[in-house]
Amino acid sequence: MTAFVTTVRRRWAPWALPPLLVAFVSWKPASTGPTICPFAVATGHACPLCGGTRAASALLRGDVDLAWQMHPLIFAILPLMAFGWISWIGVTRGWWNPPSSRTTNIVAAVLGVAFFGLWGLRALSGTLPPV
Amino acid sequence: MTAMPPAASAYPEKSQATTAMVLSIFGLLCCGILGVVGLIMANTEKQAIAAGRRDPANQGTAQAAYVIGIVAIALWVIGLIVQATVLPSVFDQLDLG
Repeated sequence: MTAFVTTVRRRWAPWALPPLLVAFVSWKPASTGPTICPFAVATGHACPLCGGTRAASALLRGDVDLAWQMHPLIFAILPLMAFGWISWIGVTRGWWNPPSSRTTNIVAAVLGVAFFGLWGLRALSGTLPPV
Repeated sequence: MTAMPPAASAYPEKSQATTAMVLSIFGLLCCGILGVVGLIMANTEKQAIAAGRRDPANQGTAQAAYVIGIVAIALWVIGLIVQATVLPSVFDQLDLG
């Protein structure tokens, strides 16, 4: 049983992720009702990540302008996610080693600065997405 | 006489516990998908500490990030289910005009 779980996790889990993500971004923005972002509920303003799912959904439908309006960083995040996905497959297949923890920390810090910096600029210019 | 534990620099890998903690907290406060990343990083940190590759001084932070990540994901999934099922019908019944 353990071997089966390990095989599923290492061999097949990476292939399940893209269809799940596409299904999620296709469904989620179509849902009605208020946001479930705790920050947006508490403050009435979009958080640094708000608009990301709607941007991905817009890109999926070919609407580049709407995607840019919802969250410009989607154009950096999607290639990064694709790179991470390919890296994950390579690691599970033993083709290469996972990135070092130092690299991961640096990438996380750079993304954090980018998200918060852009969020501040959009808040000042009044271009945050609706919540 | 007991041996002194090795210094932090003696471990071959840098800790990810703080990064995992920050991501899990933001997963709880902003977007639950960050909780998934925080949970995976916390789990990796715990495994690396158990294997002796990272400083065990960060075990508590990693465990806290792990728990917060689980809570963030649970609340996120519950929120998505409620948003998809309950809230639309509630808002349909409200007279907002």
